[in-house]
Amino acid sequence: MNLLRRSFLNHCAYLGASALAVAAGMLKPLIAFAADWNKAAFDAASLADAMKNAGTAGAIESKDLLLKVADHAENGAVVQVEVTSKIPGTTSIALFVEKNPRPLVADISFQNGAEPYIFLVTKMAETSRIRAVARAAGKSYFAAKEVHVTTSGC
Amino acid sequence: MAEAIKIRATLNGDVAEVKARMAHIMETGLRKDQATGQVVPAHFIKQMVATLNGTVVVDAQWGFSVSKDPVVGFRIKGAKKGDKIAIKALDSKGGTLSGETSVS
Amino acid sequence: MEPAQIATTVVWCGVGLGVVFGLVANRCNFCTMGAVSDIVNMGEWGRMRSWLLAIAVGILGANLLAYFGYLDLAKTSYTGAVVPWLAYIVGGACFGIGMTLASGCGNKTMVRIGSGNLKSLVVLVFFGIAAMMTMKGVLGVFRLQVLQAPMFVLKIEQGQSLPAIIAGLSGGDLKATQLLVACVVAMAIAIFVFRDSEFRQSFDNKMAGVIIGLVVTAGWYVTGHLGLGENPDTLEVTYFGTNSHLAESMSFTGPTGYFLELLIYWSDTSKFLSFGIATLIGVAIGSFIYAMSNRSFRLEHFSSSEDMLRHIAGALLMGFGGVTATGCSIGQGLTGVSTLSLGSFLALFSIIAGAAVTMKIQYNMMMAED
Repeated sequence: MNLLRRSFLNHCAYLGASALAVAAGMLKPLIAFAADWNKAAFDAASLADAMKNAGTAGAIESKDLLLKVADHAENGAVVQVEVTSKIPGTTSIALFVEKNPRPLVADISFQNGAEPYIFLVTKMAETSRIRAVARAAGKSYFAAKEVHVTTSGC
Repeated sequence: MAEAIKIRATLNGDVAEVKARMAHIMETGLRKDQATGQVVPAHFIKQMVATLNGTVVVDAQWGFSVSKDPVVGFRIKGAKKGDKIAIKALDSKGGTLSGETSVS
Repeated sequence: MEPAQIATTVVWCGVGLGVVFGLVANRCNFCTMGAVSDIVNMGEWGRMRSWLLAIAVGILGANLLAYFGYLDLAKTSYTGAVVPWLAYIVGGACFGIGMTLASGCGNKTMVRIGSGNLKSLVVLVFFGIAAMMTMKGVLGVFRLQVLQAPMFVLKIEQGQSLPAIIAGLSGGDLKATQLLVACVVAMAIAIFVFRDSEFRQSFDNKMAGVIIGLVVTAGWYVTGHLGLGENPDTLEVTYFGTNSHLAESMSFTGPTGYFLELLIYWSDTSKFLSFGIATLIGVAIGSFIYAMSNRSFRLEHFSSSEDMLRHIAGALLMGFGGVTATGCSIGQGLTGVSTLSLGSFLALFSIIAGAAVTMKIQYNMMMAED
C-alpha cells in the first residue's frame, strides 16, 4: 500500500513540476519587441488619425526623404515601395497608403547599424498617394507620391 | 510553431543588403468569403524583429496592408561576411515565423 | 542564369518561335478562320484537320514536358480553379464573330501585315485598343462585374484541366494521369485527322499541323522551364519575361494589347517587352520573310466603306472576346487546349460556333443577293 501511494505521489509531483515548467515557458515572451503593437495607429481609418496616433502629425515635406515606387502599379495587391532617408539622425520610417481602409502600413525603427532604409511590398486598394514619414531628432518629415492602380488583366 | 523565412544577405562594401520573404496569408479581416458570405477573420503579421549576431537592428510593426507573403528589405552597416542575420515575426493569432542566414 | 539573362533568353526565343510560326502559317495557309470557313462554305476539312493536328501535337508536347518536370501545368492562366464559364462562352462567340468579320484572328492579322495588308494593320490597332479596354478599361469593368459575376463562375478546387479533375476524383497520381489522358486524347484526334486520304497527301496541312504544334510545345518549354527563376526583388520563385508572370505559350490577343501599351507607355519602367509581344512581332517578321522570298508582298487596302466598317467592328469584337475568353483561337484554341483545360475546350467550341454562324449568315446574305 505504501509503495503504491509513494509512486502515485511521485507521479503527481512529476506532473505538477512539468505543468509549472510549461506555464513558466509560456509566460516568458517568445520574441522581445521594443513596444506593444500600436493599435490606435493601425486601426485609424483616416490618414490624419493614423498620422496623429503614430506620432507623426505635423510632418514637414523633405527632399532628403527618397520614396521610390512605380507611377502605375501593375497589380494593386503587390506594390513595391523603397524608402531611403538621407535626413541625419533618422531613427524610424513609417509608411502610409492614404486611401487604404487603414492607411498605416508599417512603422519600422532602426538601431545598432541598420540604415534608415526599407523595402516593403504593400497592398493598395485604389489609386492613391503613398506617404513615407521619417522621424529624426524629435521631428517628423514626409515625402509622398501618387501611384495609379488598375484592375489586373487576363 | 515557427515556419521558415527565406533570407538573402549579401555584402556590398561594409553594408549587408538583406531581403527576406515570409509565407503568410496577411488576411485583412475586411474580406467577405464569396461562397459563405461570412467575413474572413483577420490573420496577419503584426511585428517583426531582425538581429545581427543577436543584436536587434530592425524592429517593425505591420498592419494588414502589407502584401500576402510579405517581402521586406533592409541594410545593415558594419556587417562582415559570416555574420548571422536572424528574423522573427509574430502574427495576430500568436503564430511565429523565424529564419536565419549568414551574410555572404 | 542571372535574372536579367533569363528574361532576355525567354524574349529572344519568343521572337524566334514567332518567326517560325509566321513563316509556316503564311507558307501553308494555316488559318483558324479559314479552317472553319472551308467547312461552312465548301465542306472541306483540310485546314481544320491541320489545326486539330497542331492541337494533338500541342497536347502531347505540353503534357510530356509536365511529366518530365519541365512544366508545371498548374501555373498557367488556363488551368486555374476558377472557371468563368459565361465569359468563356460569350467571349469565345464574340471572338469567333469578330475574326470572321476581320478576315482572320490575331495570328492571321500579323501574317497578313507581314504580307503588306494595310487592312490588317487597321484591324491590329482596333483589336489592341479593344483588348486593353477589356483588360483594364471601361469594358473591363463590365467583364468583371457582369460576365464574371460570382453566379457565372464555377470553382473546381483541383484546377480545371481534365487530368487534374480525373486525378482529384480517382485519387491517382497527377503526372501519370496527365500523360495518360494526353496520349488518349492526342491519339483520338490523330486518328480522326489521318483517316482522310486527301489530308494524308497534303504536305502543307501536315507540315503546318506538326510544326505549329511543336512551336506551342517549345513555347511552354521556354517560358515554363527556361523562364523559371527567383525574382531578386521579392525572392519569389516566378516566371520571367511573361506578362502574366506564369508559364505561357502562343497567344495573340493579350500580347496585341500589351504591345500597344508598351509603345504608348515606354517610359514607364514597369512596362517591358514580353514573350507574348515578342511572338507577335516574330509572326509578322516570319510572314514578311516568306512574302519577300516568293515576291507575294503586296500593299492591300479596303475596297469600300462597308469593307472598312466590317473589319473595324470585327477587330473590336476580337479584342473584347479574346480577353473575355482568356484567349483567342490560338491562345485558347491551341495553347489553352494543350493543357487539356475544360475552360479552353469551352472557349474553343464557342469561337468555332461564333465563326460558323457568322459565316453561314454571310453565305446566305450573299446567296440572297443573286
